[in-house]
Amino acid sequence: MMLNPQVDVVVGESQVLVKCDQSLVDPLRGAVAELASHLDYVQPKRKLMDRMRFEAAQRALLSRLFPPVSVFGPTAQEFDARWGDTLRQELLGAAQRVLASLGDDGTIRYQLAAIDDWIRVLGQTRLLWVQRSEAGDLASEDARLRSAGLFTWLQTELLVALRPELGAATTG
Amino acid sequence: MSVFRVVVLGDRLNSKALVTDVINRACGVPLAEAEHLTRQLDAEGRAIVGLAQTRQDAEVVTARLLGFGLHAMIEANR
Repeated sequence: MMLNPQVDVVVGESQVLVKCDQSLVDPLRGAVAELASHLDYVQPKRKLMDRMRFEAAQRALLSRLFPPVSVFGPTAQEFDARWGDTLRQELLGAAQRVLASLGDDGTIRYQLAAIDDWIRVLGQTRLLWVQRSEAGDLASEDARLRSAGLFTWLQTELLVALRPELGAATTG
Repeated sequence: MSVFRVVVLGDRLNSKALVTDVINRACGVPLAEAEHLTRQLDAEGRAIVGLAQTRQDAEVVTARLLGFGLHAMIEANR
């Protein structure tokens, strides 16, 4: 991944046009595909040990993506029973649409009304590599933090293009 | 009096721009108040972003926040 990536975002009346470095396409595509594969309950056949490892990783990721909503166990479990699958499926659908929109040359055309797909997916993909307690950093020597930093940077570029009034806020 | 409150927990991963945008849009909070809540979140590690009369209403807002990657929780409003 690169230290000083470039992206141009043009927000039209009903469409958003994004042109990012061609060198970002493969990292973006690979990471979002990995997120999607962990969200999908329909999985290719695997040997028993491989399946067990994958399912453990899947559970761990889901618990990072959608952490408990209450310190009171039954309340958290009831929420998960009512909303867990909806949240998972919505993110899976968004990831699949994002993948389909990402052109080989780094061009992305997306309906403005659905651009939240990209905002969500860029944010949630970072949890493949980092915890919420870690900040992404494009200049880090740690590849996990560098990847998270790239996704935070692109998410912020998109957000600020969509809502320039958010430009003053940068880090959390 | 509202029975439940929706709380967002601070993290180092999400940008202030994202947090402000999501609180603004997902909770229906005016932008200036969303900016204030984001600063509070940064300083104190948590912020109450919504109050609800029913658990179902609290869950709807919480699900929206989780969908954008914020860590939201539901608490009894004592």
